Amino acid sequence: MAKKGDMLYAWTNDSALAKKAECGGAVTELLKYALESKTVDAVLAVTRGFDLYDAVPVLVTNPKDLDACAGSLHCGTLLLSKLVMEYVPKMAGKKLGMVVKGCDMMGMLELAKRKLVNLDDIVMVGVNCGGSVSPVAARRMIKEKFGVDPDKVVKEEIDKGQFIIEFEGGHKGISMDELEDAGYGRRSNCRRCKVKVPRQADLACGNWGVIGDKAGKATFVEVCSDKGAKLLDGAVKAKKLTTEPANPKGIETRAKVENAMFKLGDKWRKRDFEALRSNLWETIAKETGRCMKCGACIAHCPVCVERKDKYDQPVLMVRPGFIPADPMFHLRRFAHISDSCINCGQCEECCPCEIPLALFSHAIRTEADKWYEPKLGKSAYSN
Amino acid sequence: MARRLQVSLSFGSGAATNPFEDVLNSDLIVMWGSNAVEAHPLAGRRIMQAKKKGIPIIVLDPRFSTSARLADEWIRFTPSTHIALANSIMYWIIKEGLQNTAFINERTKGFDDLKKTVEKYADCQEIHGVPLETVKRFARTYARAKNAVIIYCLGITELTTGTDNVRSMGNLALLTGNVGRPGVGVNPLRGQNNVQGACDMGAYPNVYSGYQACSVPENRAKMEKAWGMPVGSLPDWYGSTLTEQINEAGNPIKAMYFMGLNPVVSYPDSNHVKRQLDKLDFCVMQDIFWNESCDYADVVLPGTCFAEKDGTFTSGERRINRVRKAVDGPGESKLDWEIIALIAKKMGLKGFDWKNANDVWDDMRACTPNMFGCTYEKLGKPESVHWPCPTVEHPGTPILHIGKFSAADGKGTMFGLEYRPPAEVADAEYPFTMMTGRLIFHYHTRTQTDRAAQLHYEVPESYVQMNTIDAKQMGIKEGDKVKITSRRGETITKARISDDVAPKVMYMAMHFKDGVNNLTNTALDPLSKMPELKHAAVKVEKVA
Repeated sequence: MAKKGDMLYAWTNDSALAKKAECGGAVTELLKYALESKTVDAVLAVTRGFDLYDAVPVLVTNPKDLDACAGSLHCGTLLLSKLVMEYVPKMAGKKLGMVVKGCDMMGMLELAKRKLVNLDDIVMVGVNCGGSVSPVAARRMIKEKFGVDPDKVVKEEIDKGQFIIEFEGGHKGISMDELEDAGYGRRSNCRRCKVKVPRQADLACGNWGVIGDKAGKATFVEVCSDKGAKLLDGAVKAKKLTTEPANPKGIETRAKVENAMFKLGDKWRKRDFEALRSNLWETIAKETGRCMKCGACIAHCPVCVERKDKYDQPVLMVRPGFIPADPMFHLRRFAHISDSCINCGQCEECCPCEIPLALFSHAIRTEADKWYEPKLGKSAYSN
Repeated sequence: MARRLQVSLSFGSGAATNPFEDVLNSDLIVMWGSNAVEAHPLAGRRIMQAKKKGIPIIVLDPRFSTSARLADEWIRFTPSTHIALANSIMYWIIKEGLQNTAFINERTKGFDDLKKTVEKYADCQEIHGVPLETVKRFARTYARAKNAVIIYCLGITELTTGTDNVRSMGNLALLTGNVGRPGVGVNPLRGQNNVQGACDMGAYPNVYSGYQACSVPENRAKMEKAWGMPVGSLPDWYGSTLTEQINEAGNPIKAMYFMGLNPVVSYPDSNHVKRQLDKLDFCVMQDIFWNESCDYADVVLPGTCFAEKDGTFTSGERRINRVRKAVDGPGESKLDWEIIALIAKKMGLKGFDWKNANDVWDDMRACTPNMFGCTYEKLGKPESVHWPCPTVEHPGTPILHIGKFSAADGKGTMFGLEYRPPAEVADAEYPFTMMTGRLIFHYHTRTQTDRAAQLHYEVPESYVQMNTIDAKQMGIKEGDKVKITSRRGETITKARISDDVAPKVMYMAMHFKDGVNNLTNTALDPLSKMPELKHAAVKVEKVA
């Protein structure tokens, strides 16, 4: 019987799925089993849309449809938590399974703190994530730095500090450091992220630490909750999944990979945050001075929940219809999310005015976390 | 629609010369009569990126617009004096020998005509209101920039001198050799996201799709064949432009079919539009919501919105962007092409047996040489395709006029153009100049945007911007109700007082029902037939 804290290798017994999915296909198999066993009523996952650079969230109720969600997509820049929040009223007691990367998981924990989602109704299967690349930036990078037609790429991955592409006629990897120093690579919030393995999900899965004869054929699974243990046991018992204890050397490798990612994260924090040290106010004023008040930073933020009566409130500092936005438009948002910003980067990704909003909020939160007790209580994660 | 003709006189082709993103390759961005940051947020995003990159931006506008606020320099000029100002600038470029002589000799004609004309405009501050030193400084900055791009918009075109205003922009670019390579060009921004697409489809009285002139017999013969029509049945004459059609409603036009248009709010002189629509025997409106003009319709057909249909939107940079259906349309709504096909079949017409949007596109492509290579497969990619793209193998043409202009002789033409005042100027009875524009919070006649709570909250009603001195003289305070009257009608609105507009100048956004278009003028540019929406004489009084 699996229990919280276990570290395992797992792989699907479905040979067709194993071929299609990555590293043993355990994630897809676990979610299929969750549906088949009625552990959940639906699964929220991500599938490939028009091409490799187009990630689309899908709600799946037929286990067979999950095969289309197998495999990873690093060029999707989605955040699933707010999507869940918006559909919670429609869930009405139904159970939901989700695939989560670090930011998705953090977003869910923040919503749970605010009682906007009930985690008892949700099973989170975590996947480790080294960061994501915006689709337009990815296509440009592949064309300009890899010298490959982006439409010819059949697979991309981030592994061992490299961005690797497979294309018709070969494969090529370039170190993340080299790419990012040249202005390509991951989104800047991802570079600073230090939640690489989502251990506050129910299971944390991924390829880091799978070595020896199982390399590429099994998924590393960390059991993070009793709920996760139960799902895993059920899948094994139903002969959907096979597990074995993780190779101890593999566990060390996993820690090494994670530590290397932490170091990279610290390097970017130092670079990004120190640059703001002496001119923070001026920089915020200058950058937010371009704001057209489109509201995307609020709409996509997993911790910005707007009051229903907001339009009935007296207007003192943020004048309706005036742009560039009055400064309090941003200050009140920074203040509101100061102890909860998960650095998911959605605000910055969706900003048409190119304001580095995630940078400011992430800096505020990490500095505040070092000094104060957060008003909503300590988080189960640290980023 | 009219802008195509306007710039085509200078370069031989009427669309934007360079892609929006190309401003990032520029060394100087000049925005003239464009408030892209508000009116064209996606083109505006590239301006934001350019600003972030440190590329200098100069905005020329009578009003301190949002774009002007973000610019490095704002040059205020008197409304509708573009030609005088451009001539003045060109005078100083030539006077100081800063013109690109090699480019002029090799690729243009008309320089002598231009030179002779601008000599009269050495100093005409009394017309355009810009201090001589500022004119000289701008002339030097623009002429000396390695790569300078001009972005213009309705501030240039919606005037009775619109065609000549656009040709003045062309003159500036040709004089300094700023055409035909990355980071330069003359780029008009279009009124809506798919104005370019509508024009490309031949939504003109005088051309078929891809700007194939109706006057050319071969074009007519080709279309007759494609559409299964008898030989010689397509007319060699052409009808009226849209503004003329409104005037001709009732006589000789008996029936009109509007799609996605709300002329009662968006066209000049709303009272006139209402009177004219009343004269029609039969009026059809096709829209996604009931708009103000539907009150004048005999039949209202429910179309579908962008998220409910497949198709294309062509942006002002001539890029054909795919739009993909995400959800089904509500109720009895139908795809817009489906409605047209159903009506065509009822009328007994052939050739409307499309199964999907791709079929419609391929139908058009088959008889449109400059878009023949733009297959749906190629349009599926994020970069998509910029026309001209004559063959399937052709990569498309992001930048026009490299090496050669589209005109028959391959040359760009400079024109000597004289300043002409607008059709109606302020006088003793109507002492203020009323300009119009757009807000970021509303799209056109608010048919869509006023239904969004956030957008309604930001700007729930119309307002007029007026100058502090004028307001003080008239005892008008911020938020006061005022009545504004022109020779054509009146509107009641709220005053917003600042120095964003000059004394005796006012500004209103065009989005509101019974708003500024009750006041605007229907006078047309003689060539483009564009109405003078940007300039009317008005008077103002406080409402007790």
